[in-house]
Amino acid sequence: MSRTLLTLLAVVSSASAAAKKDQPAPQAFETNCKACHLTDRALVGPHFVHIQEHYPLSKRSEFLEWCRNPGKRNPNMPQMPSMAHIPEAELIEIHNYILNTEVKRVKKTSNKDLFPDTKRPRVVRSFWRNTAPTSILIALPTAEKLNVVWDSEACRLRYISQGEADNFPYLRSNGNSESNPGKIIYTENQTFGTDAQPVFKGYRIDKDGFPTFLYTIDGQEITEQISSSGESVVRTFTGTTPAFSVTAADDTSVAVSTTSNTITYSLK
Amino acid sequence: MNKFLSYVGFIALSLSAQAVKHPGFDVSSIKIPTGQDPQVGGLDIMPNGKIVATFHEGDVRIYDPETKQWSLFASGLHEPLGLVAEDDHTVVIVQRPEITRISDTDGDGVADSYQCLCDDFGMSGNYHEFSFGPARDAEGNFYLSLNVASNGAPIREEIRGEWLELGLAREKFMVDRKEWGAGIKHEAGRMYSRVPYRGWVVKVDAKTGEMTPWASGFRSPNGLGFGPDGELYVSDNQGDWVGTSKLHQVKQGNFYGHPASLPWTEGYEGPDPVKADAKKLDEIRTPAAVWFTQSTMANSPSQPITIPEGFGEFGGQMLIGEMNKARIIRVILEEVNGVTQGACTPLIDGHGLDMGVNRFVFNEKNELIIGHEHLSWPGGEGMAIVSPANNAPYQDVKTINITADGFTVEFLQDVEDTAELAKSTLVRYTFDYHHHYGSAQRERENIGLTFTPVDGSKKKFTVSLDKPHKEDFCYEFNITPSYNPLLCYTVREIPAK
Repeated sequence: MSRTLLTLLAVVSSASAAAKKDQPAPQAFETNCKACHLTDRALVGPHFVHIQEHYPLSKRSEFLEWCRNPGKRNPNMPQMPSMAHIPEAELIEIHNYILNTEVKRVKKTSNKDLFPDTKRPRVVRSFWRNTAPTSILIALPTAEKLNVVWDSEACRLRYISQGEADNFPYLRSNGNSESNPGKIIYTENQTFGTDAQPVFKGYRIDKDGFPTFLYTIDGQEITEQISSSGESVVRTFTGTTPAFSVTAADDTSVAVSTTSNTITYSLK
Repeated sequence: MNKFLSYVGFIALSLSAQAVKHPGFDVSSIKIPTGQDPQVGGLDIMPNGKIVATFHEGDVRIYDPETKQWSLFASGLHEPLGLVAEDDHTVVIVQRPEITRISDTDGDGVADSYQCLCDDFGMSGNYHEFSFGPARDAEGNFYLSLNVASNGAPIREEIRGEWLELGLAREKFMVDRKEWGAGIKHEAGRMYSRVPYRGWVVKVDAKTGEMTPWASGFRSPNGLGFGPDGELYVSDNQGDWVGTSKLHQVKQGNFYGHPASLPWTEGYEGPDPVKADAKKLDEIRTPAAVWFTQSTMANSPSQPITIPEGFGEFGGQMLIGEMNKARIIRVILEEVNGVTQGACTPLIDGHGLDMGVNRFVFNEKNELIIGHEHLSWPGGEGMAIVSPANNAPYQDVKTINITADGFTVEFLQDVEDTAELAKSTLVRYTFDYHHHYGSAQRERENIGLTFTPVDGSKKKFTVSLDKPHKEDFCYEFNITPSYNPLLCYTVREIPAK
């Protein structure tokens, strides 16, 4: 008996924390649905507006069928477990509750960072598309919104992209979706000219926000700064290997020029 | 029954106005800056008393409790899920790809150095390979736990680290998601460890960054902390090979039950973990110190922490968070026949707390700071403080110990109504160890119990049972005079008479 009371206590108190002004949520909703379905934004499962659109009153039987035998619609969301253990009367109560809850339609946030941070330069580690899972994006303060994606395992530039980088696909899916670096405009092959593997040591960020990566090859310390100059991307090295070289992987709209310790990439 | 119903009705009414206050502890919240995704993956206090936290979007922010102002310390991290402050200018965080020492070297309040302390573990790119920790030992060294991959998704084309050539071929893991979901996923094992040290706890030297694989057999160990005994404790989450969620005391070289991680043991010559034999594994695994009964106690326990003196009367015990309920659990440990085991009981249950109790740190005033998270699973957001209030004393079990044929229980207050105490109940059950997901409560049976005062005490009682003890059983009490009547004791060892 007291255990039941305890469970009820927990449930009722969490209900009050999120109490909506209109109507109390049915007990069955609190116990089975609330952890994953919010009124106004997607959590583990879709929010109320979405369910209201998909299952209006006229589709009551489809709603009940989906609860008992759910499928998978959204590849970025886990499949809902079956709710077959909930009696029909309570499922109907849940459906009514969802339909009768007034929710302001939220602006779609897909493909947009929930809290956009468009500051440039900035350094963002994530699962970026078309590169290793250890990659770092550097958004550069160029009018053309150029970004460098640098692989901290291979210690080299993988590609340059253009446009606003969007990390939200990663954030909303816990890394089950890859983040969008913008349009990839230049992909590079690089060799250090030695069989030794580079060892990543980290990076420093200077006052202007540009990163300098630190790594070693055969014990030799190398630094590599990623920055921009006007509309160009600039990599500035200290201490790199004698046989170091880079080549563009594909036909590209990017012109590459080198000095003894820099590589500059400019739009043609 | 009617009395019970009206009681619930009363509580429901009062709760709809505002959450019930805990008699012994106050729960309040800390405001997170607008624009910050308010999910906290790591939490600590700097020597200067400021709170430092990591957030889901990859930021590290510092909170000054005096001015109640936040400042941005670092950003751009890849899912940081833990942090330790080394000094007022340096934090060590664990993010997906590495453990990183982040420092403000020029004293402007913003980090400028991100030193990779260690990245000597694999990444398949599978979303479920979270990295948790660090817990810092007395010498300043760090312990991390590395989540296994989930067959909810395949791997990425590029990986970091050696691929394990055992079982399903790598190409099979690289099919598109449709093909994966249609069938291949079932051959991968529900949780898999195909790059080094997934499913392990590893130790990292604070000076050299050298990594030592420490212990294996973990599934989703979202919580590391040191106990009052100076030992490392790590929680794990119910699932395949984990009948119910649990807390382990972790020692070097041990195996804690989930076989996916085993092939990364030096000299491993066993089978593909997908074909592992539960009976054989049972012989080499170290069982949990504490079980958290699924649904009843916890579904996803998080970080364990030792309680300082001054936090209620529970100094020297431990707390552990729970993601799926608005609950903080108290853990009471003891050593029996050289084995650490013990009890768990809710401490805070609702009382204005949010779900998703993920990270803990105590401040100098013995207040517990809490970071909430969900990562798209059930959980919560934001930060809270639990303060030991100067409120009316309340009744709860202070401590419990096992005896040869029962238990001894000590209450916080005198038990005046022994007739009420006599209404307490006890049921025990065990859990399966198998590759299936979770476990039903097995061999469940009611146990009759009798409370007898120890030397006329009103606080301390022996509890005698009408059946002999059984090893590897969870004893679930309902102790009627307690504010938190639910208390579970995991029996591994039975003391001699």
